[in-house]
Amino acid sequence: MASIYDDIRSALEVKLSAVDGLPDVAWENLTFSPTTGESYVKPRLIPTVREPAVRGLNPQIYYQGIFRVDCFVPEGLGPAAGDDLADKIIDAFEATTDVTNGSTTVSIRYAEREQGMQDGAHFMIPVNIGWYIYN
Amino acid sequence: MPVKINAKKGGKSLSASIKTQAEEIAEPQVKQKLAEIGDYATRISPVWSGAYVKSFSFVPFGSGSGRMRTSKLEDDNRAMEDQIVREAQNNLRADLNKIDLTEVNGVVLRNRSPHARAVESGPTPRSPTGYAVFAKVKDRFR
Repeated sequence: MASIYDDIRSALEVKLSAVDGLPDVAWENLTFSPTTGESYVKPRLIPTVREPAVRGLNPQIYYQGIFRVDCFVPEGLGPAAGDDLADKIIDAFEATTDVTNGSTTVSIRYAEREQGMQDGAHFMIPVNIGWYIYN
Repeated sequence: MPVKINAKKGGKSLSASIKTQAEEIAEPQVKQKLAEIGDYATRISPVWSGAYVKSFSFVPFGSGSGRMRTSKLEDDNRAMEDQIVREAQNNLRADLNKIDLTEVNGVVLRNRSPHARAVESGPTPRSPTGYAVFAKVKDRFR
Protein backbone atom coordinates (compact mmCIF):
# COMPACT_ATOMS: atom_id res chain seq x y z
CA MET A 1 0.00 0.00 0.00
CA ALA A 2 1.42 3.33 -1.04
CA SER A 3 2.05 5.99 1.55
CA ILE A 4 -0.69 8.58 1.72
CA TYR A 5 2.03 11.15 1.16
CA ASP A 6 2.84 9.54 -2.20
CA ASP A 7 -0.82 9.91 -3.16
CA ILE A 8 -0.97 13.52 -1.98
CA ARG A 9 2.24 14.39 -3.78
CA SER A 10 1.08 12.67 -6.95
CA ALA A 11 -2.26 14.51 -6.99
CA LEU A 12 -0.61 17.89 -6.48
CA GLU A 13 2.20 17.26 -8.97
CA VAL A 14 -0.20 16.08 -11.68
CA LYS A 15 -2.24 19.23 -11.15
CA LEU A 16 0.91 21.35 -11.36
CA SER A 17 2.01 19.60 -14.55
CA ALA A 18 -1.29 20.55 -16.18
CA VAL A 19 -0.73 24.29 -15.67
CA ASP A 20 -0.77 25.89 -19.10
CA GLY A 21 2.62 27.25 -20.15
CA LEU A 22 4.48 25.72 -17.20
CA PRO A 23 8.28 25.94 -17.70
CA ASP A 24 10.73 23.16 -16.75
CA VAL A 25 10.16 21.53 -13.38
CA ALA A 26 12.90 20.74 -10.87
CA TRP A 27 11.20 17.80 -9.16
CA GLU A 28 12.13 17.04 -5.57
CA ASN A 29 15.26 14.93 -5.12
CA LEU A 30 15.95 14.64 -8.85
CA THR A 31 19.00 16.14 -10.48
CA PHE A 32 18.20 19.38 -12.24
CA SER A 33 20.54 21.96 -13.67
CA PRO A 34 18.89 25.34 -14.19
CA THR A 35 19.65 27.00 -17.48
CA THR A 36 20.63 30.64 -17.29
CA GLY A 37 18.02 32.76 -19.03
CA GLU A 38 15.23 30.18 -18.71
CA SER A 39 12.41 29.95 -16.21
CA TYR A 40 11.65 26.91 -14.09
CA VAL A 41 9.65 25.91 -11.04
CA LYS A 42 10.73 23.87 -8.04
CA PRO A 43 7.89 22.15 -6.15
CA ARG A 44 8.16 20.38 -2.80
CA LEU A 45 5.75 18.76 -0.43
CA ILE A 46 5.92 20.00 3.18
CA PRO A 47 3.61 18.09 5.54
CA THR A 48 2.77 20.02 8.71
CA VAL A 49 -0.03 18.14 10.49
CA ARG A 50 -0.99 14.47 10.92
CA GLU A 51 -3.58 13.93 13.66
CA PRO A 52 -6.78 11.99 14.40
CA ALA A 53 -9.79 13.79 12.98
CA VAL A 54 -12.00 12.52 15.82
CA ARG A 55 -11.61 10.83 19.20
CA GLY A 56 -12.07 7.10 19.58
CA LEU A 57 -10.70 3.90 18.11
CA ASN A 58 -9.37 3.75 14.53
CA PRO A 59 -10.11 7.37 13.75
CA GLN A 60 -9.86 8.92 10.34
CA ILE A 61 -6.57 10.81 10.09
CA TYR A 62 -6.38 14.46 9.13
CA TYR A 63 -3.34 15.53 7.11
CA GLN A 64 -2.37 19.09 6.36
CA GLY A 65 0.60 20.74 4.74
CA ILE A 66 2.07 23.01 2.14
CA PHE A 67 2.83 22.39 -1.50
CA ARG A 68 5.51 24.98 -2.07
CA VAL A 69 6.30 25.96 -5.62
CA ASP A 70 9.29 28.24 -6.03
CA CYS A 71 8.97 30.11 -9.33
CA PHE A 72 12.28 31.08 -10.95
CA VAL A 73 12.51 33.51 -13.85
CA PRO A 74 15.63 35.03 -15.43
CA GLU A 75 17.11 37.90 -13.42
CA GLY A 76 17.18 41.46 -14.65
CA LEU A 77 13.96 41.39 -16.68
CA GLY A 78 11.70 43.05 -14.13
CA PRO A 79 9.03 41.43 -11.99
CA ALA A 80 6.34 40.77 -14.64
CA ALA A 81 7.49 37.30 -15.75
CA GLY A 82 7.72 36.08 -12.16
CA ASP A 83 4.37 37.61 -11.28
CA ASP A 84 2.72 35.94 -14.28
CA LEU A 85 4.16 32.54 -13.46
CA ALA A 86 3.17 32.80 -9.79
CA ASP A 87 -0.34 33.95 -10.78
CA LYS A 88 -0.81 30.96 -13.08
CA ILE A 89 0.03 28.56 -10.29
CA ILE A 90 -2.12 30.38 -7.74
CA ASP A 91 -5.05 30.33 -10.18
CA ALA A 92 -4.65 26.57 -10.74
CA PHE A 93 -4.67 25.93 -7.00
CA GLU A 94 -7.26 28.50 -5.95
CA ALA A 95 -8.64 28.03 -2.42
CA THR A 96 -11.50 25.49 -2.16
CA THR A 97 -10.27 23.66 -5.28
CA ASP A 98 -10.34 19.86 -5.00
CA VAL A 99 -7.39 18.16 -6.65
CA THR A 100 -8.17 14.56 -7.58
CA ASN A 101 -5.83 11.89 -8.82
CA GLY A 102 -7.17 8.33 -8.87
CA SER A 103 -9.03 7.77 -5.62
CA THR A 104 -7.23 10.58 -3.79
CA THR A 105 -8.78 14.00 -3.45
CA VAL A 106 -6.70 16.73 -1.86
CA SER A 107 -8.50 19.92 -0.89
CA ILE A 108 -6.85 23.31 -1.19
CA ARG A 109 -7.05 25.64 1.82
CA TYR A 110 -5.25 28.62 0.35
CA ALA A 111 -2.81 29.65 -2.35
CA GLU A 112 -0.62 32.66 -1.76
CA ARG A 113 2.73 34.05 -2.78
CA GLU A 114 5.53 35.74 -0.93
CA GLN A 115 7.90 38.53 -1.82
CA GLY A 116 10.27 37.81 -4.71
CA MET A 117 14.04 37.61 -4.18
CA GLN A 118 17.27 37.24 -6.12
CA ASP A 119 18.57 33.69 -6.33
CA GLY A 120 21.75 33.37 -8.37
CA ALA A 121 20.98 34.00 -12.03
CA HIS A 122 17.24 33.97 -11.36
CA PHE A 123 14.55 35.95 -9.57
CA MET A 124 12.48 33.65 -7.36
CA ILE A 125 8.91 33.99 -6.06
CA PRO A 126 7.73 31.38 -3.54
CA VAL A 127 4.11 30.23 -3.87
CA ASN A 128 2.63 28.41 -0.88
CA ILE A 129 -0.39 26.19 -1.46
CA GLY A 130 -2.05 24.96 1.71
CA TRP A 131 -3.75 21.54 1.43
CA TYR A 132 -5.56 19.02 3.59
CA ILE A 133 -7.03 15.57 3.28
CA TYR A 134 -8.90 13.13 5.51
CA ASN A 135 -7.88 9.51 5.10
CA MET B 1 -38.94 56.12 23.89
CA PRO B 2 -35.30 56.80 24.69
CA VAL B 3 -33.54 54.25 26.82
CA LYS B 4 -30.82 55.36 29.17
CA ILE B 5 -27.84 53.01 29.40
CA ASN B 6 -25.83 53.09 32.58
CA ALA B 7 -22.25 52.95 31.39
CA LYS B 8 -20.82 52.48 34.86
CA LYS B 9 -20.05 49.14 36.39
CA GLY B 10 -18.80 48.86 39.96
CA GLY B 11 -17.88 52.50 39.94
CA LYS B 12 -15.66 52.10 36.85
CA SER B 13 -16.35 53.51 33.43
CA LEU B 14 -17.35 50.98 30.77
CA SER B 15 -14.08 51.44 28.88
CA ALA B 16 -12.06 50.88 32.03
CA SER B 17 -14.09 47.78 32.77
CA ILE B 18 -13.53 46.40 29.25
CA LYS B 19 -9.79 47.07 29.52
CA THR B 20 -9.68 45.25 32.84
CA GLN B 21 -11.51 42.27 31.35
CA ALA B 22 -9.15 42.26 28.37
CA GLU B 23 -6.11 42.31 30.62
CA GLU B 24 -7.35 39.70 33.06
CA ILE B 25 -9.10 37.26 30.73
CA ALA B 26 -8.16 37.73 27.08
CA GLU B 27 -4.49 38.73 27.33
CA PRO B 28 -3.25 35.58 29.13
CA GLN B 29 -5.05 33.38 26.60
CA VAL B 30 -3.65 35.26 23.62
CA LYS B 31 -0.17 35.13 25.15
CA GLN B 32 -0.55 31.39 25.70
CA LYS B 33 -1.39 30.93 22.02
CA LEU B 34 1.55 33.15 21.00
CA ALA B 35 3.84 31.09 23.22
CA GLU B 36 2.62 27.94 21.44
CA ILE B 37 3.44 29.56 18.10
CA GLY B 38 6.91 30.46 19.36
CA ASP B 39 7.48 26.96 20.74
CA TYR B 40 6.48 25.42 17.41
CA ALA B 41 8.69 27.78 15.39
CA THR B 42 11.73 27.01 17.52
CA ARG B 43 10.99 23.26 17.54
CA ILE B 44 10.91 22.98 13.74
CA SER B 45 13.90 25.25 13.18
CA PRO B 46 17.17 23.71 12.06
CA VAL B 47 19.94 23.97 14.63
CA TRP B 48 23.61 24.10 13.69
CA SER B 49 25.27 26.94 15.56
CA GLY B 50 22.00 27.96 17.18
CA ALA B 51 22.22 31.51 15.85
CA TYR B 52 19.07 31.18 13.74
CA VAL B 53 16.83 29.76 16.43
CA LYS B 54 18.12 32.23 19.03
CA SER B 55 17.34 35.12 16.68
CA PHE B 56 13.57 34.74 17.05
CA SER B 57 11.74 37.47 18.88
CA PHE B 58 8.22 38.69 19.49
CA VAL B 59 7.94 42.43 18.96
CA PRO B 60 5.01 44.83 18.82
CA PHE B 61 3.66 45.40 15.31
CA GLY B 62 5.56 48.27 13.71
CA SER B 63 8.63 47.84 15.86
CA GLY B 64 11.94 47.56 14.04
CA SER B 65 13.65 45.79 16.89
CA GLY B 66 14.35 42.14 17.60
CA ARG B 67 17.29 40.04 18.60
CA MET B 68 19.94 39.01 16.08
CA ARG B 69 22.60 36.36 16.60
CA THR B 70 25.40 35.73 14.15
CA SER B 71 27.64 32.72 13.78
CA LYS B 72 30.19 31.01 11.58
CA LEU B 73 29.61 27.74 9.76
CA GLU B 74 32.26 26.03 11.90
CA ASP B 75 30.26 26.79 15.07
CA ASP B 76 28.67 23.34 15.26
CA ASN B 77 26.54 23.25 18.41
CA ARG B 78 24.15 20.48 17.38
CA ALA B 79 25.03 18.47 20.49
CA MET B 80 23.40 21.25 22.57
CA GLU B 81 20.25 21.47 20.44
CA ASP B 82 17.77 20.87 23.27
CA GLN B 83 19.39 23.51 25.44
CA ILE B 84 19.56 26.00 22.58
CA VAL B 85 15.89 25.53 21.68
CA ARG B 86 14.87 25.92 25.34
CA GLU B 87 16.84 29.16 25.54
CA ALA B 88 15.11 30.42 22.39
CA GLN B 89 11.70 29.51 23.81
CA ASN B 90 12.52 31.26 27.07
CA ASN B 91 13.59 34.36 25.13
CA LEU B 92 10.25 34.43 23.35
CA ARG B 93 8.31 34.06 26.59
CA ALA B 94 10.34 36.91 28.07
CA ASP B 95 9.44 39.03 25.03
CA LEU B 96 5.74 38.30 25.56
CA ASN B 97 5.96 39.18 29.23
CA LYS B 98 7.25 42.62 28.27
CA ILE B 99 4.43 43.36 25.82
CA ASP B 100 1.12 44.83 27.00
CA LEU B 101 -1.26 43.44 24.38
CA THR B 102 -3.92 45.99 25.23
CA GLU B 103 -1.54 48.78 24.24
CA VAL B 104 -0.20 47.48 20.90
CA ASN B 105 -1.74 46.90 17.47
CA GLY B 106 -0.45 43.37 17.13
CA VAL B 107 2.57 41.20 17.72
CA VAL B 108 5.09 39.99 15.14
CA LEU B 109 7.22 36.86 15.27
CA ARG B 110 10.49 37.91 13.72
CA ASN B 111 13.84 36.32 12.98
CA ARG B 112 16.67 38.81 12.39
CA SER B 113 19.41 36.25 11.86
CA PRO B 114 21.53 37.29 8.85
CA HIS B 115 20.81 33.92 7.23
CA ALA B 116 17.06 33.89 7.98
CA ARG B 117 16.17 34.22 4.29
CA ALA B 118 18.40 31.30 3.32
CA VAL B 119 16.97 29.15 6.12
CA GLU B 120 13.47 29.91 4.83
CA SER B 121 13.99 29.45 1.08
CA GLY B 122 17.49 28.04 0.63
CA PRO B 123 20.10 27.37 -0.22
CA THR B 124 21.86 26.37 2.99
CA PRO B 125 24.78 23.93 3.26
CA ARG B 126 22.35 21.22 4.35
CA SER B 127 19.22 22.15 2.43
CA PRO B 128 19.18 23.50 -1.11
CA THR B 129 15.54 24.50 -0.78
CA GLY B 130 15.53 25.80 2.79
CA TYR B 131 13.29 24.82 5.69
CA ALA B 132 10.18 26.98 5.17
CA VAL B 133 9.98 27.64 8.91
CA PHE B 134 7.70 30.67 8.66
CA ALA B 135 5.57 29.03 5.96
CA LYS B 136 5.02 26.05 8.28
CA VAL B 137 4.17 28.29 11.23
CA LYS B 138 1.66 30.24 9.13
CA ASP B 139 0.16 27.03 7.76
CA ARG B 140 -0.31 25.52 11.21
CA PHE B 141 -1.67 28.56 13.03
CA ARG B 142 -3.46 30.53 10.34
